[in-house]
Amino acid sequence: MAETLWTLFGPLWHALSVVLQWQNVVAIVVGTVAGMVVGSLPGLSATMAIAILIPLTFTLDPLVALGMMAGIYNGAMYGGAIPAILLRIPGTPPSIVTTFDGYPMAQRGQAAYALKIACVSSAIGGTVSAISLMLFAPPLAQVTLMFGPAEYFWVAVFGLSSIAVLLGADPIKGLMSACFGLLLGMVGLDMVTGHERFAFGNRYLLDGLNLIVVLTGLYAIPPAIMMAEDALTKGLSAKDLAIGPGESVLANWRGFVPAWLRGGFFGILVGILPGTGGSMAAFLAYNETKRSARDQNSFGKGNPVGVAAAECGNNADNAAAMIPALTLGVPGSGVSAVILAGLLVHGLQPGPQLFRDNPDIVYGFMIQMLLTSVLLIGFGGPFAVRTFAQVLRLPRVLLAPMIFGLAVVGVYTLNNSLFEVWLMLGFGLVGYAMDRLKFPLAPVILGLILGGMAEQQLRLTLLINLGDWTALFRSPISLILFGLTLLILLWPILRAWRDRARQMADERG
Amino acid sequence: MDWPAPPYVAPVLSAASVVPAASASAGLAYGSRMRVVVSYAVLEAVTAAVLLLLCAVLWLSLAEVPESARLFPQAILLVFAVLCTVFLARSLRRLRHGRTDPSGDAPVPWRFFRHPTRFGLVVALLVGYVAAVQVAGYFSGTATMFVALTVLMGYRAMMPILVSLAAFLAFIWVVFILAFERPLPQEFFLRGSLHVPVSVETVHG
Amino acid sequence: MTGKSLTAALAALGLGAVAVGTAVAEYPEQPITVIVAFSPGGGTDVAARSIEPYIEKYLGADLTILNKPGAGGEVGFTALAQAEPDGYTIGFINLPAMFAYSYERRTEYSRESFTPIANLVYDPGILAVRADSPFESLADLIAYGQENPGALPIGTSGSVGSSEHLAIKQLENKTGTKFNHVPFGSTAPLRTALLGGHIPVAAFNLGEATQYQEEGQLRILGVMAAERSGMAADTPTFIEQGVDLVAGSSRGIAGPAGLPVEVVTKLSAAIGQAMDDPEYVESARKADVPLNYQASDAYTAFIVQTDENLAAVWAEDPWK
Repeated sequence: MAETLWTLFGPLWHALSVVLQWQNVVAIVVGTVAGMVVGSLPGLSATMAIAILIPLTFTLDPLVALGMMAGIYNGAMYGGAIPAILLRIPGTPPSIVTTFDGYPMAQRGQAAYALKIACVSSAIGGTVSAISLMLFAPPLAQVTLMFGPAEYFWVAVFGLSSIAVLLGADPIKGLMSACFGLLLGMVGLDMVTGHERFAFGNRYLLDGLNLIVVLTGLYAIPPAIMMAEDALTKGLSAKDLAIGPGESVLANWRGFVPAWLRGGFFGILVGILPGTGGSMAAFLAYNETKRSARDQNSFGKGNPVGVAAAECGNNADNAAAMIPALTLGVPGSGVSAVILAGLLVHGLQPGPQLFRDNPDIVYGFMIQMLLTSVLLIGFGGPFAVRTFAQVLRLPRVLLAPMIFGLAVVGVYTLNNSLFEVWLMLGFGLVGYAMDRLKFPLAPVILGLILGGMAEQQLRLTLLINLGDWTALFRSPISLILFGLTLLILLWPILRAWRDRARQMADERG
Repeated sequence: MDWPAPPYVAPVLSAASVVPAASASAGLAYGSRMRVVVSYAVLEAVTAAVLLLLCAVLWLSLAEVPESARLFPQAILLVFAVLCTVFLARSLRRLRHGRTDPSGDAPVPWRFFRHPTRFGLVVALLVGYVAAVQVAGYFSGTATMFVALTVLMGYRAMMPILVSLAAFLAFIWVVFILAFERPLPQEFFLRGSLHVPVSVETVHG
Repeated sequence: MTGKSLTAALAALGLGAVAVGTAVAEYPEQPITVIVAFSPGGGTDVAARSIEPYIEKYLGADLTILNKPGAGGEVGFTALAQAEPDGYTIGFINLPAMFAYSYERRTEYSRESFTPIANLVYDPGILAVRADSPFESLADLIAYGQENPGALPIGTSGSVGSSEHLAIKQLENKTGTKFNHVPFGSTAPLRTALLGGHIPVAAFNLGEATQYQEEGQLRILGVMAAERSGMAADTPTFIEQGVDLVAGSSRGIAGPAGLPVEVVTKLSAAIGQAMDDPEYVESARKADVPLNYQASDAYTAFIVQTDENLAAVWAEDPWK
């Protein structure tokens, strides 16, 4: 017993002593703050920040480099919540879900409270995820292997079915948005046949539409246009940004536990699945929390629990996404892919030998993921309010050109492509029209992210099984996911039945 | 752009863009005089019609794609077309019943653009901005847009404008040039002299 | 200042200007942009960033990596082909993908658009199965493919038209077999699917499989190279097992067409020295990167041959 504990904790303990060396501590602090800044700027992403960091870390010790990456990873996942709450502009794709309830809260004057909730929830999600990485990496990696094309198809469908929960007041418009997103996801070269679809011969569209381009266009440009239109010369007052009475995460912790549980669970689950990232984790955590809540209708209108679910979910994806990356060399999310590249550049190949030959680095990195999550509590919340949020006190009419400038530089530096900047502008106009005509934006993003994945995995499954559709229903995982999807789609009907039955029973009795 | 688009795309797309452009300019014309612009339901109907047209164009664009790659997009387009038709029918019904505003009950003045002239200006400025960045460089373009936008929107206090502009540009410079070393479109006054990391922009952009 | 010292100063300035003027002919004296046609973090990007400091050391100039991803690399290749041939813009090119595109669709470049400088990496293709697979050797696989045409799915790490796909087609032609080609698009999902038992056979590159064979998780049935690779000395090649099939991906550095000969020589030499640097060789070995240096002449010949092979395959049986 003691021996197994030692094999488990021994390397961690030893790595801890390395991680606490001063240069590594500086690295994670710098990384976390840098991550928060990067995440809070629309158009900038953690992926890009880390990718750029890689060559700069050549001369650095691997743990210093990894410490900064861990900091950026966790910091950015939280940082995205800042503009999401304050401006309804997601700083990173997963923060879209934070806008659902975060922005209404800010409009009600609860901006600081929302930021605090986001901060604590992110920290909790990240911590839980880091612990799963430290303790359960090998068994969880086995779970990753159980997912093949058929299972991934159902994961994508399950994710898409959560659109049903996001449809909002007008289902027709919600579904139209979803279709739009699905179609956007099909732009480019088809993987299986190599033919192009919806690209009209344009070389720049052959790889498909970049999520950040669409996201920045749809979410960041319209609010900025409207700010310029309104031409307000005032900004938020200091009062709007203060913490009010009764707004304490600690005091209200009981209400947040369901959100945190679901956030952690779905974050880790989505994390270990390659090809799905923080966005999906956030959506799933939010939807599941909403579905099992008593006051479902309060979600989307400023329910603090919604913010908690979203932020906990997206941060819980982080460390868990490194599980398949470190063990199988398969990144569980876009950011983890770049971190993996950073490891490769330092000559560290993922796989069992990484754990054997470089335990200090691997376990050190895991500890760094944990520490940076905890650091969020220090730097997020009040610190964020006192620094970032102050930007909002500028007159709106000055904020607008800044947002435009940020969007342009952020999108341009993704791929050094002006075409994508023009594309973003186009989406900005589309987003404006959608907003004015009351089409929801979230289903578009979900459709874009998951549509391509669902189609490709379905076709791969059919190819492998020579067109046999029953292959989709063979494995236990497929059946479970299929059942859950049906449940989500039929839930409203089932609930209506149940309510009607209850009503009739009441009338009778 | 130099990409050879299929022959039917250009005429259909220009036809499709004329409709919203026409309704938008009609809206602009109304808006500058009356309080209530082209009514909400009319715009909904027009949008539905345009989207149906778009579905047709996209459907046609898939003609040469092999079947397995064609199946899904066409299925989605079908669903989309059905939804658009329902949408169209619904807005036409609303029009007939005389409800012209979003909430469906008490007539409240609703406008597509919150402020038509300013919207037009902002969009024109944005287009000019991206073009300026391409031609004159990021910092020059951004500085111009910043001042132009704030001044044209009626905010005339030059000191706050210039200070925020300077702070913003400094911030961008520190983050992108200093820290990240990302190439940005080169300033027009720097081209040809230094060989700083510059984006290799081909004529085709 | 007195009149005399002023004249002296001016004369010195004039001489200095002349000196600078002649020194301009020395290459390289400005930073060099290296176009990588893929996103940061991808295989080519990692390879570029790993060797960058070593090339800088031997060349004596700064290198800046410029990512220009898109269309599977076509955007970056086009940018390279259209750059100024002054030696200050070079880039990584990936074969055979780069030429495959020129046959599949209309590209803005062709073989003549580039000046080959040096090859860095050559990763031969392989066919691999899970360690517990019933296929013990290539012969087993071929027998199965002959008896059950079209029934066995083989996953590839690229999409249609990739080197692995073309290799499988050639295998089918040469052995009278028929397989079911399943394109996964990239190596990571393919390898996971293979390890998880979702697909029985996979075709990808040697560098991406050796570690898993060493750990006992995969079995490489054959390597599509002319001779056995140092990275997998115990694994037979296809040729040894009776199938004359050589295929693989190469990554090299090239410049736009019309690059001056001195520039090419200097760059090629510096790259060669970088690749001989023991530190770099060691890090490449640890990362399982199969180095294969070819100086400009050999590389040019290799490129021409690759393109001609592709042209022949396309003429006979267009893969798209």
